Amino acid sequence: MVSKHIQVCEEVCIGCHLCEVYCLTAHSRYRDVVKAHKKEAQRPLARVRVQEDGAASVAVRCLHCDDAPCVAACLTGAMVRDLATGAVLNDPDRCMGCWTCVMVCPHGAIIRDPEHHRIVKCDLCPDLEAPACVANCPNKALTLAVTP
Amino acid sequence: MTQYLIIGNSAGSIGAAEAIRQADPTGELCIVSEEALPAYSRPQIAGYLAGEVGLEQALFRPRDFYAKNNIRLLLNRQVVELDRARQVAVCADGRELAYDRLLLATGGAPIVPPTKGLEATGYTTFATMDDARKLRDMLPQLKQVVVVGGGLIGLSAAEALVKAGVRVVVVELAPQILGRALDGAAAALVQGIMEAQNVRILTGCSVAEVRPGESAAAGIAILSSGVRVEYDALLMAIGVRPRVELAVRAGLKVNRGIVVDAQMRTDDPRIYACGDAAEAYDYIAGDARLTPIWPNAYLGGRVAGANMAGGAAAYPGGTGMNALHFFGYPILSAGLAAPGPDDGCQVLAEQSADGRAYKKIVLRDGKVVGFLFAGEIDRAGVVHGLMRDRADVTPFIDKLFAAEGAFIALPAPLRRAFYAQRGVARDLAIRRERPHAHESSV
Repeated sequence: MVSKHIQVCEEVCIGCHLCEVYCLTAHSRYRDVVKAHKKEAQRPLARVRVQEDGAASVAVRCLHCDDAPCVAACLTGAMVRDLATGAVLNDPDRCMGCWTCVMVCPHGAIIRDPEHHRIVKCDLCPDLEAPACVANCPNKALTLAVTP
Repeated sequence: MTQYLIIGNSAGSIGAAEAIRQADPTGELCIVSEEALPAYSRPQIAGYLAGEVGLEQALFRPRDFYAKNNIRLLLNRQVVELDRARQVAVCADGRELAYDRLLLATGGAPIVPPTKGLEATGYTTFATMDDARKLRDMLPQLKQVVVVGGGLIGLSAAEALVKAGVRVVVVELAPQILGRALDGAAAALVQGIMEAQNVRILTGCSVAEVRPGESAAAGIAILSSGVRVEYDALLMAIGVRPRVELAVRAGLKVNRGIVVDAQMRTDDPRIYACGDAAEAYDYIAGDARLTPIWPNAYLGGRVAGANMAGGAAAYPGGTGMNALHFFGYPILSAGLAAPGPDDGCQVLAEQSADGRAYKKIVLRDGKVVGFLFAGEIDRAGVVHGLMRDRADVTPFIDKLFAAEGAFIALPAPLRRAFYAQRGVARDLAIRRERPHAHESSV
């Protein structure tokens, strides 16, 4: 099982929010930064959120924990671990938006999409070479570690 | 080859089956269920009743789960007796199922208090997909439903019925609804939301008697307050009691629920129990008790399964927690969310100016022992993590309470420890060894 983990280095995160911009774009229909923000009727939600406190900032996103409490707690079976990649993924059709995963994620990394009664979360951008947040982080506060 | 038998087919059962298969891909594994369906997400039955969720969507695992995991699934089959000496479970039709390791994941059954006229007049419960299907089939005939019980099950049913165009009257004995999960302030918020959707909520009273209805109505409920309410269906949703009959008759140790150790094993080393039927360790209460909630059942099942397959897993402890949502309004609560004056707790609480958001963190000896977030719930996960870790939050709790971003509100050493625990140890020393590290920023 190849496992991809995004590594976080908050010491060099400058709070630019570009990870949010490119995450949203990567999960949009057009995959274009301007169209994604300006044209899409239903702008997708970024799966990463920058939190700031004075000079400190950090990009909070799913860490795809080995012992993922969200998978164990999921009431519907929507939250699963993809055994091929190790990623923790949510099936939007089975998710009912009960927010149990929001309650058990100690990182606070689950994003609610109340309009669609479901959550969204990092999927490691399966069809991109590197997750959009990593590829577009100007300061390498987010990097990708691939464990064979 | 070990022969595994699991009685019950819900969260705990599936957790156990998955853990058994991880450790033992070949042992004979049989799940026996009284119900007609493969495991489904019980919390989804309200969505099914409201017409928001289809049956396939409500399944807890994909249809091919049992076949893929080489599990023999026996549906519509009731186990009525355990013969521990011969290690067999006896079914109602007389057939016997042998086991080396047995899991009692028998769950709970709806509580129906003795009420004058009830048996003659009839009622429905709301615990299974079968219940939801029957109610859904009745919808065209339903104008008004009386729901007895203002807890999670009763209010979920009430919401689903209202969405389906039915008038609902909720009767709750306690002075507030959702007394097990919420404090008075949060319960009042929910009551306001339900009432705005035309759900009539009568607290502090019970159904004293039911009589056959006059004209078209199925029945009339006469409440302890004297109020008479006509209904087309009476839904009993007071709560569930653990189904311990098999364990009791087999002579296993049973309190309110089946008694298990940290390995989820009963006092018979070949028999395990989990879920709503078992008393598992509650890390906030500090003792074993019934916490009939889905995630704890699944986790207990996983521990039982791992041990049934020869492993050495221990239940980390759980506590009561509730993820609630009524007409889109979200509430998360866990632990001692509504402590009493004798619990020795310090409470931080705040309601937003418009009254729509309410947050509360309960502390004891510097540690989080409970929380409640209503309306704005996104920081609940971090607070829950601190509660689970029994972290001393004294130095930063005020900041965490006020913060928008909950994770950044933790002190930097705690954040680093958090990453380190999850193999994301990116301290600067490690970065220096990387060819692309930004030395200038270090």
